[in-house]
Amino acid sequence: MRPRSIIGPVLLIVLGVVFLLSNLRPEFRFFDIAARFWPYLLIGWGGLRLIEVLIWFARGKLTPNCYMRGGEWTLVVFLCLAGSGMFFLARQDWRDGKPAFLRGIEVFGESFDFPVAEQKVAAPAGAFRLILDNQRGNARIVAADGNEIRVSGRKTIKALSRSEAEAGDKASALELISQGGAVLVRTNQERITGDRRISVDLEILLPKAASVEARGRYGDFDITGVNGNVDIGSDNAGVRVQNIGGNVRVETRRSDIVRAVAVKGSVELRGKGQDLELDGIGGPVTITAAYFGDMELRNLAKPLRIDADRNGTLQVECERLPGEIRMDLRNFTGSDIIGPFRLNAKSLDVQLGDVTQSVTISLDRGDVEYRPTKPPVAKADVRTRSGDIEFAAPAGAKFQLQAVANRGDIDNDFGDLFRVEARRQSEDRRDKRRTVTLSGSVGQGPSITLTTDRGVIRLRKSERTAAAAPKASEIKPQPLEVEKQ
Amino acid sequence: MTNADWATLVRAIRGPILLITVGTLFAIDHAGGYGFTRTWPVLIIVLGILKLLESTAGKGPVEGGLP
Repeated sequence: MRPRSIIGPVLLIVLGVVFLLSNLRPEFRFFDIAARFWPYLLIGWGGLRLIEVLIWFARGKLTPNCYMRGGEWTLVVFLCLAGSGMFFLARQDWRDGKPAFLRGIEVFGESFDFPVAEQKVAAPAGAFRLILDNQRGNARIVAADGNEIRVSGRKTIKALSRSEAEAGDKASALELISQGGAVLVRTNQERITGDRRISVDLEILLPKAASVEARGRYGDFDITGVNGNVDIGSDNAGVRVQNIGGNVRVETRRSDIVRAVAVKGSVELRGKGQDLELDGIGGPVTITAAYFGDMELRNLAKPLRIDADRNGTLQVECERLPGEIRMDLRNFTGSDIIGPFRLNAKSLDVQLGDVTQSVTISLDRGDVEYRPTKPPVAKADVRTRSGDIEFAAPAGAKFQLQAVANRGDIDNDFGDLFRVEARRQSEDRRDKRRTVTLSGSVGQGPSITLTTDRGVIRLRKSERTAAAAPKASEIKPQPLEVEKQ
Repeated sequence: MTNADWATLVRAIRGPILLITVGTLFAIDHAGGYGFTRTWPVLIIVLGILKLLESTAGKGPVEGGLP
């Protein structure tokens, strides 16, 4: 009789763990990881089989029935085919939403580089618009003193032969057209037909009075120092803008990063992307784009509004942000926020520091930690359908508290100051679910409501950390209200 | 230990050893080293070595010979 191999069960377990991980953690990219590491599955499989054979041999149970059979080899061949296929697809350049091997013969071509000779045109007097039409390629736009627009760059054409590429270069000559209050920069890529592919990297120097409007399909934009508005629309672009005098509008279908630093006007972001970084924005910030990477927002002088569909809805609002908000797909941290602050999300763990005015948090799933570092605390309404809530009151804070934990518990640092009640959720004695409520107040202060449908609520007295402690001059001998009682 | 036992062992480890070799070659391929299209003869070499071991161990029982 053949001893039973453990390979089948082990493969099932590995498969289960991998699928579970990819379901629970959105950042776990199953496809990419499987495409890269599937050969190690083969090695592990072989290693296990080897150990098995040696164990059977040592026990004297080894018979010719223990050899690897056709069925197992078939599975191995399937794994190899599937793995190689995934690896091939993962390595493709998906910039057009389809892999390179489906985009025709161009992959077999060669790349030819051509310089784009500098062209100049006098800028219209006063404020003017620069309209950039460059389908593929990066653009670096820098505002400088002077009243000329200068454009230069480099052109890459993929073609089967040099002569074909040269013909393409001639057909797609760079054009600068000045009409009325606008200057049009056109790379004429659409004039190239057939399998040749072209991309043009541009360097544009222009006067500060410019506004920039750019459209493209693939390529990064880097814009510095213009006093007018910046408006970018692209299928796939990294966007970096700094020292902009006007408003910034960015709409991308894909993007690895959008970064705006020191913008005097408003910022409006639409579409989809990966990372986002905003720092020092003078006008209102409106984000309806779904960014799936890290978001960092800092120094926003006007209201912030995020309304995006990112792993479920995500809505964030506040009046001003002297501090910082950081977010990834699972975590939200915010501090030094001028409220009213509102956060509405499907699944997010929230850590909140100082907020003025009011705090409204509503989560489907996720824990909330609200730790103001100094009094007074803001009026707060925190609700999560599944998750724990921790509220750490700073020393000297006054507030009224109402907490409800359905199917959970309340952990109270304030002792007798608050009244805690627990009652069953139904008359049915077999139903063990209970609701724990807590209410009470520390002095006369704003009302704080904490509600979780499943989870634990913790009330803490916040310990002063060095960073959070007020300056020595601000400290007044003010004992905690709690201690008086 | 008889020669037959030894031959059975050598034949039993042939599958796993080949599997490990294939896995390693693909891993090298994916890590950016030599491609599998260039390294596949290693498989023949490994198979040859295993066959050699088997024949020095004497003739093993016929595969699938037992009910």
